[in-house]
Amino acid sequence: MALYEGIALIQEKQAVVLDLGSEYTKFGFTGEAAPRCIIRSQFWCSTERRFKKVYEYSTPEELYDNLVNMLHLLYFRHVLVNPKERKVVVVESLLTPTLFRETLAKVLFTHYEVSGAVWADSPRMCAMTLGAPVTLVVSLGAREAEVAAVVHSCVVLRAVQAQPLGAAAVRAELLHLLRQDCGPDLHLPDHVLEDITVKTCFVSPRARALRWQSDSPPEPARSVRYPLARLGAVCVSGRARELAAEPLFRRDNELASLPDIVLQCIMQCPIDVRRALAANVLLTGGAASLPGLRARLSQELAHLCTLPPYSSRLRLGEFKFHRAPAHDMSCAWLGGALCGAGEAGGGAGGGRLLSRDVYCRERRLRDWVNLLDNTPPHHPQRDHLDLTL
Amino acid sequence: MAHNIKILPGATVCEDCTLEGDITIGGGTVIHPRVSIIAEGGPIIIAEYCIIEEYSTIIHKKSDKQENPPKPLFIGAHNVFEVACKLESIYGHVGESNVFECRSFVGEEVKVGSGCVIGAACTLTAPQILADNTVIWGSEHHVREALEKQPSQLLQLDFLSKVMPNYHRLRKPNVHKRQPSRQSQEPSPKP
Amino acid sequence: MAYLTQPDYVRYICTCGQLKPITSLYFCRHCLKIRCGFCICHEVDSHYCPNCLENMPSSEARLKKNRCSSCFDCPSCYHTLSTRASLVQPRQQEGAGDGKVENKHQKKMYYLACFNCRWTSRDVGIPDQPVASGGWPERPNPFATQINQLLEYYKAIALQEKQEKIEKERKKFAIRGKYLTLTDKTGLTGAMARNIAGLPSSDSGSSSIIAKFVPSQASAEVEELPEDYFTKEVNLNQITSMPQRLLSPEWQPTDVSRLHPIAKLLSVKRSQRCRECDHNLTKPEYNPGSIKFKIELLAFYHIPEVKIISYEPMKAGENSTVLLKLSNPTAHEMTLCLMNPEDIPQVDNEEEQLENSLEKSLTLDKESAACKPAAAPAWRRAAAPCVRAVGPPVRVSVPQRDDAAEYDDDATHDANDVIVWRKANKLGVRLQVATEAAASRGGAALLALALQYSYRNTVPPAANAPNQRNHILYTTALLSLGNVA
Repeated sequence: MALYEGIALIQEKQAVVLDLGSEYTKFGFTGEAAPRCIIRSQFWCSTERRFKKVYEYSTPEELYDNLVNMLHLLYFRHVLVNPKERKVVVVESLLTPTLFRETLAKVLFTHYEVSGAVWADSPRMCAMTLGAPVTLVVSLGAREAEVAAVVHSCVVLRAVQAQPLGAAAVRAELLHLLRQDCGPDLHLPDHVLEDITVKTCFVSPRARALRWQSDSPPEPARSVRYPLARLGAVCVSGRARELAAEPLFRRDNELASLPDIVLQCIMQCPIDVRRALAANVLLTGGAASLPGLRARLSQELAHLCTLPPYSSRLRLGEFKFHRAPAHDMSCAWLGGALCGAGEAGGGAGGGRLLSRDVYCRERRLRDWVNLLDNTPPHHPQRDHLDLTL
Repeated sequence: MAHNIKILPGATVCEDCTLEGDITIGGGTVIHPRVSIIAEGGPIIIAEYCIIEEYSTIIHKKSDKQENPPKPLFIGAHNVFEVACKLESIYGHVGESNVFECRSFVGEEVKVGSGCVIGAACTLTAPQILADNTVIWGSEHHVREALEKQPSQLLQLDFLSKVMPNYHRLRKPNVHKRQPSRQSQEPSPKP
Repeated sequence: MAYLTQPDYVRYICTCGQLKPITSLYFCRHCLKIRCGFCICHEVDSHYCPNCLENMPSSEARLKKNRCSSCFDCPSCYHTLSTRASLVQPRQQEGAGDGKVENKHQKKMYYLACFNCRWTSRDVGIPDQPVASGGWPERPNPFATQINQLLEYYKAIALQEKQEKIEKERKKFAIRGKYLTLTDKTGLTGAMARNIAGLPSSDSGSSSIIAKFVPSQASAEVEELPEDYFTKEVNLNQITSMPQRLLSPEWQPTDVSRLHPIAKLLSVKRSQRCRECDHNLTKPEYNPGSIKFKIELLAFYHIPEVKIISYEPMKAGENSTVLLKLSNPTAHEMTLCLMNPEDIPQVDNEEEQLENSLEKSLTLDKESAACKPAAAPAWRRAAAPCVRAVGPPVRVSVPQRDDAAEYDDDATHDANDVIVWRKANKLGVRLQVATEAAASRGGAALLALALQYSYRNTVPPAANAPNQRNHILYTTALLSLGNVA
């Protein structure tokens, strides 16, 4: 590490890596092992006199203002560098709305005048932290669970799966369970629910979870008295602690539970990587650090494989899990930092760096859903596209 | 209300404070001016080496649940009551080496152990028992457990008992000869 | 008019279209335009520790990861930690037992303590230090070796990729197939493709690193919950909260006993620059303890300030009177004219634009600056003024600011139906306003008021520029006059 820092001092300045999550923002330098700061994606809005989340927007202008304020906070309060002189690696989900990406690009290039930026998708970045050629990235974010297969640094785009099964789903269920225990008019702010989840909740093994659904529920875990400011305390029952994460595994006819979407993702991948994917699962994201989640997912996957529609189509063998060299929350960030150390920080840039002058000329970002970017150069449709541009 | 105030030798009690009811103040304790100690529900016994700062209030509340004859409110040694804190208790006992920071409020049904810190402006109203070495701070009432009891403020006590007489009229200690025997009785009303 | 705790009643429209109170605006003396925090360029000037107010050169700050080396934050409540001294306790001396201890029994040892939540460095078993500042143990990142390996690997790959590219160019590989190659679109590098195919890589230098690299190994074993998890009592005081974990992103301790003091994050002094002319708008003094500026071009010192004294309730479709206080903060007499925003003559920018057009086409900066206002285009989105000034424009002359005038006699009343009173560089003005008939009852009554003012530029002009010192400038303020009754 020290060696590379030394080189970075002589060479070009280290690029910064930005992972703007819906709940937490990770920000730091390339080539470092951890982000410099992990803060809530919110800023003090002086006109409204409250903390405002970056993702709270109704118009593009409002989003622009939010991003300007958030980046100002990050650059001048936490990382303390001039935005102009640093390239940026933006780590983002594959499913980031186009408006958000474009606005972020506009903020970075026109407002902060950064010289160049790389847009990197989080599944590939997560896979980079392992160095393994084939990885199945299961990331449980604040809002969504996303499953993507990364095969030799390429995301199998048609197999990407996403469901609203993130930390928010766990919190909603926890509040629901607590209301069953403590009465329906219990109101807890989001950060308290988060704190209760982090401190008390866990995921029980599959056998135990099945017993909860049967007539003879198991002896619940100890209940916890969680003190609240001024209001006394709320009793978090063992049942609530244990069952809060169940929505992730709840199956219905749509087959939209977490293990289901993992298997569906594998099923939609080319047949020759399926076994490898199953043997290289990486569970990451902020919600993944719930105790027992990994074990439960492994058990559920093994069980689901034996059921239709998977039993007839998948022969996967054993599911194996990776451990990324980072905490669950900052895994994608670390990938960005590694990627940036090779690309943006190394000065070579490579083809993936979008420099400011190119952006100013084109005013758009490459995007995998955009036909302009995903039509091969000699495709008959290509000329047609260029014309319409 | 019959005033029966016993001040043991070595205690520094300013004249300009409200003491009502049956109150015993232990040796070495310093009571600043403008303090109110009101023993309306039963006697209050303050042990040695406490500091009770300006505008703090200690009330032994009247209560229906009170036994007859009322149990005294016993406040252990080395407690610090900072400026404008308020303690209303019907439990008979407050442990020792606690710190009640400025403007804190401890309600009736809170039982305070030993070595606790109730942070500035923290308001404890809900019935609860504070285990030993509990620290409460901040508007969100964060709780943590300290490793050891808060160090006692002996230097400060020493200084105060020297300086206070120069600037304030003091109440004279009114219990003299039988002091040793009294002190041995004092810890007895523990629950 | 700006208040700390109240809403801003008078807001000025910045050149970029933002609405800001006068206290958060700047005035560029070179462009003669109002700027705000949104449309200027912020720059890091110097690093300093906000606790010990010690300056740190930026290279050192970078090495120390923007952390102060002597100040710490409490990992439990984020308050600043204080260093406390303790004599080596006699209890420990007895424990140590030997005569050796007696020699230095007066030795002072230091530990860190938080006065807010009473956390101490002893709580987590950090040994006391013999020196008052610094020397606290540093913890390595738990994943450091793995990450270093990965970094080396990716750097080697990047290097190889670069070399390949150079080689390719040399070979003039012009013949290209009709179809996409694997490396074209996928982000898959040639080196990696070679690796996957099991071919030996083209060069040997970095290839050894690539060859030696061991990717992470997956395992089928996943840690189950310990058996006693279901029966064990949970002690909330032993588990860290999310903010406590995220305060040290490298370790993210889950257990209270793993909390370590957090070195204080440095702060920066910022200088601010006009984006158009690149002149500094503010530049702080270097000394962290000083709150003064070397350059401070605040709007407060340059443009006339409008305050609301009182107003009659606004009724839709009717006229009312507003009393305003105008003050001239500059050292020159100022002629002020209050009018409606649409009366501001459209400044013919053409000449100016022609001048700059060459420059504009050359530099991207100007181009992007030109597209910037699109971001915050119309303040009208946020506010629709429904009150306007009526009658002939109020034209007054305000004397310069004079600090000695404070001690002068009482206000001179040159009774007038426009000027209510005069005092030093301030005057009270009566303004007739009309509310639109269509204004909805209960809606905010906003008065858009354009100010035309004479401004004397004190900046020595550039050699080739025309020596023009007196300017007529315009600005628009939005005044909140309660609600429409």
